[in-house]
Amino acid sequence: MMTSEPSAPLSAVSRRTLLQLVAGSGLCLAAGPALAADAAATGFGVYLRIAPDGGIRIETPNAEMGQGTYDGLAKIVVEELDADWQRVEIALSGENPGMVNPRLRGQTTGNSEAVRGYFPLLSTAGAAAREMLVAAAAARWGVAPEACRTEAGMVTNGNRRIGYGALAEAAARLPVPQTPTLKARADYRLLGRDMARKETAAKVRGHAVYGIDVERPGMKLAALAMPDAAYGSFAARGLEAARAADGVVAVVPVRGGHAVVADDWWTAKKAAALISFEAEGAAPLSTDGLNAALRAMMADLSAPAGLAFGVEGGKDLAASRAAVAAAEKGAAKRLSAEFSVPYLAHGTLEPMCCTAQMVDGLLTLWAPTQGPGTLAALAQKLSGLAADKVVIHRTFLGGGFGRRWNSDYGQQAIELAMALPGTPVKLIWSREQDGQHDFYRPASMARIDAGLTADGSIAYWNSRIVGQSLIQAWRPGAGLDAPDYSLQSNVYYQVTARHQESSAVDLPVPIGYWRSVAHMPNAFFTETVIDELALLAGMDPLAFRLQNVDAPRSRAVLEKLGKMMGWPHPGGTDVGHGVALTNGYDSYCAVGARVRRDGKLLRVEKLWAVMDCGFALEPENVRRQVMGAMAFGLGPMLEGQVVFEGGVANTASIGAIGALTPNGMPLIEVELLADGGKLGGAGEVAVPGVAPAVCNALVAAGGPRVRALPLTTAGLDVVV
Amino acid sequence: MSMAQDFTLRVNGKALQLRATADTPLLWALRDHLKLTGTKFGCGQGLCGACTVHLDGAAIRSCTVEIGGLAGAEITTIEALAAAPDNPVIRAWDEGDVPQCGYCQPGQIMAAAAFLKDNPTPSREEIRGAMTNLCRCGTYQQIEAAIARAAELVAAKGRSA
Repeated sequence: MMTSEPSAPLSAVSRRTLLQLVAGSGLCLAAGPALAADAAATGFGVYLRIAPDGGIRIETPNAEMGQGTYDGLAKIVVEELDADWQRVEIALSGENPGMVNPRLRGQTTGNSEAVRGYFPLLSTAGAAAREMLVAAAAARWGVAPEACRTEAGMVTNGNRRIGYGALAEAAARLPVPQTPTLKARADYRLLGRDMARKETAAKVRGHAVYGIDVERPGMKLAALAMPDAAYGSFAARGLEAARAADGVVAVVPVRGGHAVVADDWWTAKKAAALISFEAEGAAPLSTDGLNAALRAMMADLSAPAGLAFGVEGGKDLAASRAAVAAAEKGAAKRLSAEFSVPYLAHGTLEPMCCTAQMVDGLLTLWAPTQGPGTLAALAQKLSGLAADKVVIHRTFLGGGFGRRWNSDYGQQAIELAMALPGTPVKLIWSREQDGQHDFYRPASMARIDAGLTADGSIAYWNSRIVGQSLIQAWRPGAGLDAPDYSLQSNVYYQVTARHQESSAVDLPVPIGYWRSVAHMPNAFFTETVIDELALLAGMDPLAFRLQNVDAPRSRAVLEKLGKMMGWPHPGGTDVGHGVALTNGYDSYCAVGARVRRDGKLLRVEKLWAVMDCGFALEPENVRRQVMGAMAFGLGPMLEGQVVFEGGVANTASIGAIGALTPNGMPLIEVELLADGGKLGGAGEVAVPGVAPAVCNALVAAGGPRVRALPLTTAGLDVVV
Repeated sequence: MSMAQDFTLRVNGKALQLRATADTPLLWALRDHLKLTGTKFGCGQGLCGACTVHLDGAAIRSCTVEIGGLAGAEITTIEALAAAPDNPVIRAWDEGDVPQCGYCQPGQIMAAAAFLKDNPTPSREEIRGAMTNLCRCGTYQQIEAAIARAAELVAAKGRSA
């Protein structure tokens, strides 16, 4: 089914945020404050500019951290505009309140929402601009707009042609159409096709500007001194020695420690090493203590618990527990399994960094951030400045994975700028600090009881998941009895009686979003149990899934995966195949794995994925997102675990975070299915399936059933 | 703490002056002093390879090499390869649209270029065995393919020369 996307109601968008057709110096206007001021002054919007020579400039609102939205979002505008893609220049916008992602209600990059959130806005902006250009041409020629066509940046009428650049000024004076007509997908010329990526050349040549590459006249460099521990209370020692060190300009107290400022980073780093920290009060919890707290919460059924939507008994915890207990009694076969997953670090290859400068009451930041809106609000709060006195320029991100949704490093840069008025300061964390002061993917534990009817359908599913809650971390005091997505598993199967509860544990570890968030642990729990149920039923794991999935799109990706993998595969004593299904972000994704076992040594030889994201704007990019997501999920499930000793994480080295190396990279094959429906996210959904698929393959290879990650904790040697 | 002194480094065929302490890693001399920011800081531990440059033609991790020992050495960075007309490794990376976030790619390219100089006709297994630079986006398959493609381009150039 080919459809056109819903357009965004322009009344909701407002004319100011819609489009900007600038005659004259359109392409020369700077991003950031000039853009925002200009937008307000001329009463136009933010995404699109057309220069007199027909050059198109798209300001992209989203972080570019490897997902490819830099090109992808621009193409949405250009598709509807019918402009020439070769004439399009893309720029990262600054922080701009007019660039809110409607689904996230902020200018924020996360939850695989870039395309899903911005598509209606950007396609409508492109289509509205096209209609205005057509109207301007029609008026010039004295013909009806319906008699005009557009193609590659030109309006045509019979043999007459005129370029968008020549029409832009007149078009910008016309009323903005409230319901511009959008193309059907069948008519797309750019979307759905692969084209050379515009940002490749700069990235390949070392010209792309990441946060760490920002250069300002008179800029100083800052390195940090922070305690080794990620949490706890500490007093700094040695500040005077650092201040007195050669080349040190200043030592400034900042969030979490002190920043040392010098002309170059190495000088600052050496002086920062003169600062030490002494623990105050009780020693911070170690991993044993954290795990004990999780286990205690697992056992404490009197603790407040949230229920997943759609379970037996509605929101009544006791009624839901009773209903599933009754179903358990009638089941033909039953199993009970306990799981645990560890804290994980993000390990973006570019360490946290940010540049800031305060000049005459204007605070300017140059930030590699996933959350410019959040950062702007924080900057206003810390500086006391009005919104129009805080300017945030964005750079490319050397990896994000959720880590750069936080503003901690931005806060430190703001504090530096406030302490050193006039001086631009670039703050760069060391790798050790990046690994020791992460907002970690929270550890969690789960117990799942499930059972079968005599005919191999799922009679009941009773799960309890405990861990630190991301909802509690961001909104302390949010109801503990509310459904908590950060601790809930989605079960993509028909289940007769279902009870899914979660309890949040209050622990001191800083936690945050990590590519695929709760999907990764929860898919591990769920898809392991599904495999165990299949074996309990005496059925092939793929056939069992196909019999019990609750959605046709789940069935389609699984069926396609089976074909790719040459399913069925008999189990063996050295080689095994496994599958898993992990939907999310409006997408459907089936993952397969082949592992080879040689005694205790496990090697993941091959991974497969079938992905249905409704419609792939850029198919090759989606395939690569899936490959990258699988690599991102594989390393940590093999050997990634953050262990805290007295609050100190073991992840000071990039080699300790479970980062997959070239040697550990299996061959990966990806196929896309397009159901033609709603747009789905592409960057995260393939992460979670890897762990259960590999663990299920391990069992098929005659290995142990692993219910605690990483695999190394099961006594296996792995190739990462 | 050592005092800053004057150094001359030969970088990309030019003699460049800087004032720094002798223990300054080449990485930071390139980035902070010489403003050659194509070479990236990833770990400072010699592990990730984001800071890979060539020292007298060999790939090294510039975060672990102090400038005090570099007198007379010839250093080549990504900026030199980027400026070269039709460098086969750069071209192969362009054709394959290899980067995702892109942060590790200059280092990957420098490692690949040095490898191909030593082994212009590598097998896929040899490529896999030689490359150790990290990519957190997981572009390893595209990197491997690009190195194979660069080898083809080098061979084609050799035949036409």
